[in-house]
Amino acid sequence: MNYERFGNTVNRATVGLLLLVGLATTASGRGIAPADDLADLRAREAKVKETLAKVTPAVVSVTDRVGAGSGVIVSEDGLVLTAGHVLLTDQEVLTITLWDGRTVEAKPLGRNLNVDAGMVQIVEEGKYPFVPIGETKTIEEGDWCIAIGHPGGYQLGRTPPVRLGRVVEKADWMLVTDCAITGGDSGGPLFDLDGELIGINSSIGPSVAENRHSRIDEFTESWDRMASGEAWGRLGGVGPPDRDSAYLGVHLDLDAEQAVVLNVIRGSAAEDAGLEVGDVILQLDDVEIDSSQQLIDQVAARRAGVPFSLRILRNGRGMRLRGRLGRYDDIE
Amino acid sequence: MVSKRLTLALPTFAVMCLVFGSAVEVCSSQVRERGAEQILPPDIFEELFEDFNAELGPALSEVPPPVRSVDRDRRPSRFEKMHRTELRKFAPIVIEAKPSIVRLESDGELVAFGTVVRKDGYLLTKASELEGHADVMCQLSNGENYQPDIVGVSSDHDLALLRISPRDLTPAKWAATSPTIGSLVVTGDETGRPLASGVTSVERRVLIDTNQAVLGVVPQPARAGIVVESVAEGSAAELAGLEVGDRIVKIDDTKIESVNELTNHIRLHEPGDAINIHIERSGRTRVLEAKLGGRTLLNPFQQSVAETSRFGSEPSRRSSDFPQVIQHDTPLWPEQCGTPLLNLDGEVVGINIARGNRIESYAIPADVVQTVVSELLEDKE
Repeated sequence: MNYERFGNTVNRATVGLLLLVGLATTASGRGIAPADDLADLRAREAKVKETLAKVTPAVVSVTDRVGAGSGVIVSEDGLVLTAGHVLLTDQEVLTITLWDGRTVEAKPLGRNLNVDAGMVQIVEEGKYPFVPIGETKTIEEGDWCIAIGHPGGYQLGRTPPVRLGRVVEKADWMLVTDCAITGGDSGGPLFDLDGELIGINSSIGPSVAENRHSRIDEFTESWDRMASGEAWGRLGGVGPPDRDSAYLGVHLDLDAEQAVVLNVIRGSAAEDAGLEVGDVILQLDDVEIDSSQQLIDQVAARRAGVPFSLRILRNGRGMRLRGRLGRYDDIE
Repeated sequence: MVSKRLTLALPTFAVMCLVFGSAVEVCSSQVRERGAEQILPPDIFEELFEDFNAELGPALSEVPPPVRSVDRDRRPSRFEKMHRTELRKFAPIVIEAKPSIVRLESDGELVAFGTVVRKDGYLLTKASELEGHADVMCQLSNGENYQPDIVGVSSDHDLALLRISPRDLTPAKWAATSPTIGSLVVTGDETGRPLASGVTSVERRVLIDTNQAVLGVVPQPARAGIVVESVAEGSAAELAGLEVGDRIVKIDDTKIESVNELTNHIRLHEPGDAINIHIERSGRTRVLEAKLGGRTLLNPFQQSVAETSRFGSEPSRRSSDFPQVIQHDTPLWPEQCGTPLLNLDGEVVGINIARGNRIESYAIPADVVQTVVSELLEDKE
C-alpha cells in the first residue's frame, strides 16, 4: 500500500504544532488536556456499543459446505449482501447461520466480481433483523468504523468478533481500513459509527492495517443486475470473466502499443462481426481505444447482448464493423 | 496513476480473498477451474482428514516457524488507530497504571511484561515467553532492576508467578466486571507509554482448541513392541524422560505391540491426561509418567485460513487452550504479553496472555487471574 501522499500533505505548520504538543506533553507529564481526550474516548465507546446493539443481529455466516464466508441482512425478508468471491463455487444451496445460531437455507443471486460484490436470498420466509444501506460519499480518511464477521466460519459459543478501526484510504472501489479481518470474514459488514452499512469485507494485504472492503455504493450500482441473478466481472481484474460477462472474443497482445487482434475465437461476437487476425481496433462505440487493456476494460464495462460498433484498421484501411456482444459462458 | 496503483494491488488481491476454503486458493487466471476442483466429495475429505489424524507429531507441530511481520518495520499512517496522535489519547490511563507494570528482559532484549499482583513483590507474566531465557531481569516503572524468582506456574493459564525483593509495590487495580463487546481497551508499558489500543471483540469464554492428545514421539515397529525413533522437543514424551531407542512395551495396562496400537491408545485420551509408559532401556524396565499434550486438528481448509490469518501478526508460541479469555483486537506483539489490559477507567480487566493472529489477542479475565494467584500461593506453602 502506498502511504506516500499522506506524508507529503503534512505541511510545515502541522509539523510545528506536533512538536509543540510533544513538548507540552513532556513538560506536564500527564499530556495536554487529558480530560478532553478521555471524554472523546468515552464518547466513542458509548457510540460503538450503541451501534453494535443495533447492527450485530443482522450479521450472518454464509457457507456452501466447502468454505465459509460472512454476510449481512439488508431487508426484512432476508436479502443478504456478501462478497462476490464467497459465491464462486457456484453451489445452488447455501446455509446461513443467523445471529441466534439458527440455520436457514439460502440461494445465491448475482455477483459483480469486478468489485467483489455478491447477493444471496434467504429462502425460508420470515422477518429478519436487517441494517440500513449507507453510502461512502461522506466517508473520509481517518473516520472510525466497525468490521464484523465470522472469521474461520461460524463458531458455537463465539459471537461474531468485533473489530474497530479507521478508514486508512479511500481507494478506487474499496475502502482500506485497519479493522483487521481474515479468512471467513469475507462478505461481513463494515459500518460507520452510526451503524450505516458502508462496505463489505473483501481482502487483505500483508499488513495488519491493510484490510479491503468493497464500497457499499458499488452494491447499490449493481443492485438490479445482481438481484436478477446476473454474474459478471473478473476477480481483482484478473482471470477469466464470470459466466454472464460481456465477451467480444479476441486475443490481444497486452504489450503491444495498440489493440491488435492476435486471434478470433470461433463462434464469438468478434467472428460474427467480421473481425480478422491483424485488425487494429481503434474505437469501440464512441470510445477511442489506445491500448489492449483499454479495450478489455471497455468490454468488461458493458453487458452481454448489447449492440456495439467498432472502428478498425485493416491493411492500412479504416473500416467499421457492427455486432452484439456475446456472453462468456456461451463460448466454447 | 490509477492504473498503476491497481496493478500493484492485483497480485495480493487475488491470493488473499477472505472466504475460507475454496476461494483462499483463488489465484490469477485459474479462478473458475480451481473453484470447481476444490469441491471435494465428502469421502475424499474424510480421507484427507484421516491421513492427517494418523500422524503422531510433536505437541506444538502446527505452529509454523515465526515470520517477521511487515508491521515491525512500518510506521502507521496518520489515519491509522496505531498512529501516535491516536495512541497518545490513552496516555493518562497508562501513566496511572504504570507502577503495576514491569518489563522483563534477558540480555537486554524484551522477553515479556509482567503485572504486579501483590504489594509484597509478586507479579505475573506469560510463562511460555520465559522459556529458553536465562537471567531474566525485571525493571520497574521507577527504573529499578531486580532478579525475579519463579514461585509457581499455572500451565492451564500459561501464567508464571514471579517474586522480586521489594515489599512496597503497587498492585494492579482490578476491574470488578469483565468488559462487554465494544468496550475500549489499552495496553501500555512500564514507562506509561500506550503500546496499542483495541476493542473487546468477544465476551469472555472458554478457548479450548486442541482436540487430540499427543505424546510426541515418532515410533518405529520393532521385533517386540515399538521403538522410539525420535522425541519431539518440548513434547509430553520429552518431559516424561522418554529417549530415542526406548522400547515401549505397555501403556497403563495395555500391551503395545504395533505403531497402530500406540496411536490408538493415545487417541483414546484427552490432552492433559496422565499415562504410565512402560519401557525397556538398556535391558532394564522402567515406568515413566507422561502428561499428554494436545494439538489442534485442522482440516485442509481450516489450515489455509490459519495461514492467511498470520499476515501482519506474529502469533504467540502458545495462543490457544485457555480456560477463560477475553478476545480483543489490539495488535500486540508476543513479547508485549504479560501486560495488564486496561479499560477507560484505568482498571485492569485482564492480563494479556496471547496474540492469536492478525485479528485477535487474548487476555485472562481479572477474577480468573486473582484466583490463579491465590492457588499458586497456596501451592507454595
